[in-house]
Amino acid sequence: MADEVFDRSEFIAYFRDESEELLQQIDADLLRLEEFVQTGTPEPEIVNSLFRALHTVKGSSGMLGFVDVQTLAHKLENLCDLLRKDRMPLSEGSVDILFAGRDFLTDLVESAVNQTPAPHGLDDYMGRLDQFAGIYEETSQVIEGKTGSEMDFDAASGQSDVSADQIAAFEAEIERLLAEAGGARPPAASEPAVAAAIAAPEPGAVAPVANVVAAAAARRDEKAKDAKDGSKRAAGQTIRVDIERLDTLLNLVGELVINRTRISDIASTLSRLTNDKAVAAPQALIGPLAKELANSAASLARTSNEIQESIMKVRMVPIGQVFDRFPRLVRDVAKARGKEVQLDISGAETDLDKTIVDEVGEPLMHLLRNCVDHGIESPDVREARGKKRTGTIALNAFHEGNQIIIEVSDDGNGIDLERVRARGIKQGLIGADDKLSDRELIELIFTPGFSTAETVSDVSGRGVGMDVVKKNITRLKGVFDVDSVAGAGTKFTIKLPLTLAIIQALLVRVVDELYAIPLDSVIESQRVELPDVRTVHGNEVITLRGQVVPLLRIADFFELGGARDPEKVMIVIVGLQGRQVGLVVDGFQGEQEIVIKPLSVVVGRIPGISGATILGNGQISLIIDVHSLVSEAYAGGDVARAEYSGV
Amino acid sequence: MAETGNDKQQFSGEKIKVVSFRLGTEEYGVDIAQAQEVIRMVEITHVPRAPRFMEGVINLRGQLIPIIDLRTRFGMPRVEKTKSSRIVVTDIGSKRVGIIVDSVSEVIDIPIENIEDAPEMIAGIGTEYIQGVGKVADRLIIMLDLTMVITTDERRDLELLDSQLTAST
Amino acid sequence: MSKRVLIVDDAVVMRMMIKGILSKNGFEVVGEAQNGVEAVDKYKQLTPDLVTMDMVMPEMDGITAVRQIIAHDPNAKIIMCTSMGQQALVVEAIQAGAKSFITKPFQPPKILETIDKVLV
Repeated sequence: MADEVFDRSEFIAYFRDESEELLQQIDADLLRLEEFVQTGTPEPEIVNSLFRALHTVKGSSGMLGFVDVQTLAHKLENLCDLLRKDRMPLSEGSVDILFAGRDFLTDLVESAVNQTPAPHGLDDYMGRLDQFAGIYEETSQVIEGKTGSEMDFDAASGQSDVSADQIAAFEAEIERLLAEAGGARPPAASEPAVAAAIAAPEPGAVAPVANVVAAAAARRDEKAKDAKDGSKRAAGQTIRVDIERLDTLLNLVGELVINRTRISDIASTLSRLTNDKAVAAPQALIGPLAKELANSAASLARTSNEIQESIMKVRMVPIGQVFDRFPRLVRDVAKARGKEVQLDISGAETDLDKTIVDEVGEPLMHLLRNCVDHGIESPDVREARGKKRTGTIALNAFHEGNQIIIEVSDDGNGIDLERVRARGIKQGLIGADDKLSDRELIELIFTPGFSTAETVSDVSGRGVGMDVVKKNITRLKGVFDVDSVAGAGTKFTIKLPLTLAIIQALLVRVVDELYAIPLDSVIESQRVELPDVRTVHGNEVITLRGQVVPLLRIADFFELGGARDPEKVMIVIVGLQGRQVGLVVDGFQGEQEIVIKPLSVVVGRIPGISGATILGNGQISLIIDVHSLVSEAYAGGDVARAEYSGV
Repeated sequence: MAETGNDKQQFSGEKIKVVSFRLGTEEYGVDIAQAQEVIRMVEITHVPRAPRFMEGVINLRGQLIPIIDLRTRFGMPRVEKTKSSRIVVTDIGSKRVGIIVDSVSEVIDIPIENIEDAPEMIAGIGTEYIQGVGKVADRLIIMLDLTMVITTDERRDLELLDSQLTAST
Repeated sequence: MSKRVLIVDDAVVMRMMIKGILSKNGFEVVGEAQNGVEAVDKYKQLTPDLVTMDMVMPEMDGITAVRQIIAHDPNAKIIMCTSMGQQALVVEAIQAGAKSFITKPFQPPKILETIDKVLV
């Protein structure tokens, strides 16, 4: 019967989101808690907040029948309760076991939601936790003089296979306590609750139902497994929206509806006029209607613009969602490397598109690890250099025009350019006599596989280098930059567009289809007479203001066929990190704001195409991914390479 | 496939509703639960470099739907689209895909016990696409496994590459 | 006319579930609150027929919220949502004026039964 009422799948999505938030909060609380280890007594509000977050995780997981999550959350909640009641001292040991518990809880939530096996080492940890808590619980029970039954209930509440009997007993116990306390409460309450408790049908119904659902889902999953690859993030993504933003949207939609009515009124009046033979439809009648229609159209345009803007805002979330996990990360890495690091975060409230927020976490994490690992010196070295023992990493986000800027800076070593040069020579990236500017040396660290670290540390090593960070940022249509002063520190700057969903595009015709080229990569469009096109090693180039620009014929690249214009070429000059390429098209169709829609997973990833958009007349236009188009063309030797190497 | 057998047991004594359509001389069917709607041919936007059986994408009320040409998918000769050509819009898992067929016949009930496992070969279509063959009066309706139709695994891609290479030489 | 309910819980999953159960059984969920402060505000603003109240919440806990609501409206009908092991708190809440309680994990029939009895 429980399954009729609960559509679990819907709740699971909420559960995952909520737990993610709570786990962030738990992390933040633990970090604050850790600051009190020296004094031994924490600020009560921190412990209370921890307790509440764990309590909520316990409750929600219990409702969904996630036994492991519930059990662990309960045990951790217990530990916080001991802390709260001053039955257990705050020590490095207790904070560490809570941190470890928080990590297991994160993994357990993941495995509960995805129906994968529980994380390795969980049993070990639970045993350790029980042992740890056991020491203090005993004394606690002595101090509080708990009765046997109370202790049973405490234990039972951590399990999901709580039977109706246990609940009934718990409720009867409350009745007994209430009776003892004497008539201080309204009389209506006692009987119903007890009666309900005893009448509760199907002991333990929730857990078995959950199991059946889980098993069925597991079977489904097996079937769908191959299809699911790569689409993990796309499925079931949710976003929390400020209710005000939704209200605004609702109002705007209201205006749309009003307009719709106006327009259909006009339409029916018009059709009456044309059908009515008696009326010769004089100007006097049609004139006002035309005006009315024009007004409606104007209002429609305004409303749809506003809706577009509002929807964009709905997609915007604060970047703090990503930042929140970094204090913990920095703490862990610093601890592992024997460094003292303070992380200063500002601008966490800066909004940007949800998809970008999701994508930017990984590169930022890598940069922060890099700062701790390679940037900040060990405390002794810092002291010797006259710096504070504790290094500072600043993570800062702010809006600038249509972009968001994220800066990661440290007051550590700076990039050792001599070492970069030595490494570059050793790895054969540059010659021993090459004269490179500081700028060019810094550029070297973006080369795939480049690392100045002598040994691959388990922190920032593992082959993930700055090149990957740069690639990820570029994929998000962002710009990545590094500044460094030897001995004083390094600053990484990431500039990202606020959203990827709506862009300005230049529409071009190629053979008989329209394609959209994102305007941010377009420098200019040109009509060039064919004699001005020259060939270099069989590839076409033009000279533009003294610079040689290789041409890429889109029709050829996409194998569209079509006849070439014998007299001229229409060229869209696109810029890629300072380099220019001319895309040859068959015609320009003007600029337009377009809404990017991903091509279905069924179509797959297509080099040169990043998505599609639906134009005003309902026609579909594919969006050209300039970056992959050009790099693919280079890889295939379709374009003159000569001028590509210059910066 | 093993699943066909299971399905049969599960529905024993029941009927399934099937949307039947023609492709060449054969009649095919898909479970009505997977068929969202049947639409007339509309303008299809070609997607360059997409898998060969991918005819392109269409705009269905603001949603982009990839379109698969079943003839190409099954290695049958391509034909000009006619007035009776239709697009069957299907939901396969979380994916919405349109498939082009020569014509759509009707919605029919097929008793589960009249569905048999697929014979080895039907008109050159690999058995992996076929869930079974349903018998209604004297008609044979080939039940398609749409999941396989839209799956583009490596093996399939390789086959595709092969056919392209053969085609270009 | 269907009875109007205010749901108070800091856990969104809990709120959704209670809301699901109640709206499928003819109740009108007129509001949701995430903590005691919101609960008191929304009670005053919405004057619901019934409140389901979680015990452990940030900002203001359930018992304090019960006290403040009862001070505002002595006839308020509040049902506490409790976990096992919280017996002392349940007693305190009922003494503060809550009418009854339900124990997590909830069984839908039991929630409805308890509500019916309280609303009589």
